[in-house]
Amino acid sequence: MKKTNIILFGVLLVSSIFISACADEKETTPTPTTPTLYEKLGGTTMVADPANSGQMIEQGRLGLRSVVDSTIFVIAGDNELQPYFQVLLAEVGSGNVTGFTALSKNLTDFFCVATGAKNFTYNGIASMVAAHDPAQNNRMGLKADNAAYNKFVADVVAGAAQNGVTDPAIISELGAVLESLRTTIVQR
Amino acid sequence: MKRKILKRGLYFIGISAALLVGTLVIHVAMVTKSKNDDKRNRQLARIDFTEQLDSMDIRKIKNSVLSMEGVDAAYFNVDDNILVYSYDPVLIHSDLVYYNLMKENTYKAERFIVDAKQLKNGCPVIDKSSFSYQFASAVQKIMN
Ligand code: HEM
Repeated sequence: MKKTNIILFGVLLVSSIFISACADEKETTPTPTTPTLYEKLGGTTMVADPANSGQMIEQGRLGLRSVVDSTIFVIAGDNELQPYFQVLLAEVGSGNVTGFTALSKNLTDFFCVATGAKNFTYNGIASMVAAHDPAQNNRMGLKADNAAYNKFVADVVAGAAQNGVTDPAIISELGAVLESLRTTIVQR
Repeated sequence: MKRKILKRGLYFIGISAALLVGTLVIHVAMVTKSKNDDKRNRQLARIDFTEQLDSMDIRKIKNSVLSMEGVDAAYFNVDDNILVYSYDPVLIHSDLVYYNLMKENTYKAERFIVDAKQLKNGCPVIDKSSFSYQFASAVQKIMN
């Protein structure tokens, strides 16, 4: 009987090492010298989430989510881009996650990670080529051209402006993040 | 004696396997769960106006839609006279929003409706019947 206890203890110990090994990763991040864009937007400071009463949210994420959501509204009302984003306005049955909710989460996660957030992971389609190829992502209405890309960037800037993000330094930094993906996303 | 050892060995293997699966589940949950998930489910809808509207009309339309229970945000594209709003599908339906709006004032406007055909298949990259997808989404459902 005793032996089984020892064995059990050993197994538990090993499993707990597995778990803590993952947790350790986060603590060994080196102190950054220049603040990331995420930090400039408020970083990990916890603030009340205006959209979910009683819940807290990182200020950086709240800022990005607000811009993302506003941008999605602008895109949904943009006749030039709407054909690409048909999925946004298609209504789903009750209980199913809407295209808006899903895209808002994925884009927010994506931009959190892209701007330097540490506490979020992006779980959408990992390859931006695949995410913007209608053959691989059927929520992408058609292949994007340069004109659509320019309109998209303009809509992001409009979405940012609606949230009071008009600081040229931040806009140009955001623009650089967007511009770096042009050749990946424009596929015709 | 041999039997006893065999029995113990089997116990050991069984317990280890169970604990490893348990660890895997916790690990998947920890890795995939983002901290403060924005859990709201919101549907977007759009109404296209075909008449000329001034800023007073636009403000009135936005206020009217925003005053309905379940509608939480609205955006008006003034260049093309397009209203986009989001609502909680548990509380209100887009048909009702349109009906209520038209009851107040008969605007020349149409709902913009997308057929949901494209949605049927979901993401083609992920094989939704695969074990790994089912397992991962089951774990995520439990933890989120
Ligand atoms: C730098 C610019 C862009 C970035 C960073 C970006 C990023 C993303 C991300 C992260 C997703 C989510 C993928 C997923 O759900 O797994 C996505 C989806 C999508 N993107 Fe983009 N994108 C950009 C530009 C564009 C442009 C220019 C278009 C079209 C004109 C476009 C059309 C779409 C569509 C239609 C979807 C799928 C919508 C949905 O699932 O609801 N994107 N994009």
